Amino acid sequence: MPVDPLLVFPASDAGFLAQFPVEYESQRRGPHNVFRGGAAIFSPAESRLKSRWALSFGHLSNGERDRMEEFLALAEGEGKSFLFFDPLGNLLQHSMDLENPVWVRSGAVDVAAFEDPQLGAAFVLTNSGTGWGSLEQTISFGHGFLGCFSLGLKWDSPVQVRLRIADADGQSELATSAMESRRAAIKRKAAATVASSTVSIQLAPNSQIIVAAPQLEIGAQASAYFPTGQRSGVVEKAYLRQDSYRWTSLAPHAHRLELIVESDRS
Amino acid sequence: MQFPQLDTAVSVQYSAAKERKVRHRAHHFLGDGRQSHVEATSSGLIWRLRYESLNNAEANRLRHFCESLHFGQTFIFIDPWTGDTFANCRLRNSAFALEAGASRTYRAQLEVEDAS
Repeated sequence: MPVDPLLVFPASDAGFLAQFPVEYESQRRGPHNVFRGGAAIFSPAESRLKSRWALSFGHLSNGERDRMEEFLALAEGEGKSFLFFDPLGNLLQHSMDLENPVWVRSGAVDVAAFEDPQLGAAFVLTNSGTGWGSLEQTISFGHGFLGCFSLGLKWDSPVQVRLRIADADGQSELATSAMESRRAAIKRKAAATVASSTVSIQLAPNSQIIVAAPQLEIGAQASAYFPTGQRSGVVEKAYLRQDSYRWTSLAPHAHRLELIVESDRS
Repeated sequence: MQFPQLDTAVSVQYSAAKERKVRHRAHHFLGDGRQSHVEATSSGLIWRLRYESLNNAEANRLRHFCESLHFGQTFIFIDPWTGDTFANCRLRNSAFALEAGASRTYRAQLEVEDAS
């Protein structure tokens, strides 16, 4: 569900969050006891996943530097949490379970799990109504970022399908005709004032389609699918792990900065 | 759960290393007598796995596997040196590291330990 954050990690002019390379580390932590000799007991229910991103910005423009400086001042070093998007992750929740309530149905759309030899863990969407129906998820995404929504599609005969990213400022839509197996993608750059976006799969009346591996990521094109459950690439409470930072300006519009961002989630 | 494979149908690359940690416990007796025994309830086997030039899908597969494990959860790992199956392995320190390079190739690092 969308949140209303006070502070959001800033987007670049082009709508990206990070410049590559990006270093990422994760570690699950929790109560455990290791005995002499190597045996150990763990408490999985109380464990949390700590994630750490090392971001290296090499060519920030003057405007991007100004926005970043404003963000860093508001974050107060390690002091305040902010909304962050995993630059290597899938921003959708429950991408492996389209029957989960985070996926909202409209019209007469039904969802059923299906194991497809090509797509793997897939779902059959059935629209038995006389109007278009949809399956959609709304997340706290916008804030000037460029999003790419992609989805595996398959059916034996052409079926009218639309992929859509919509926000308060408008929408981008891809109308396609699924046949055989392929991955369709659509991108949209949100306005800086947009706080949430809805991605939807829309299906023509009286039709069926197999879908799999939905993904929303920051980028201009779809990358490899990353499966998600309750924990997605939307990090509602991230923190900087540094109280100081250093700007290096090689030339006008060529500002360098390195940041460490961490999160601690269940 | 089974440790994932790369696109080449193998689980590790040549940069992997295998270690076995053995600890002896000595008992000292009066008159300079001493005895020692191996102190271990686990085999002490550790595989240090380093991956270079992974593609996006392979990197995602490894990360998803590591992060979907419950704390301390064991999985099946096949020793690439011997082909032996170890049914009770853990992600050492529950840690995983990934680097996404500028050319969108990936490096990853993790350690597997035998918990049996």
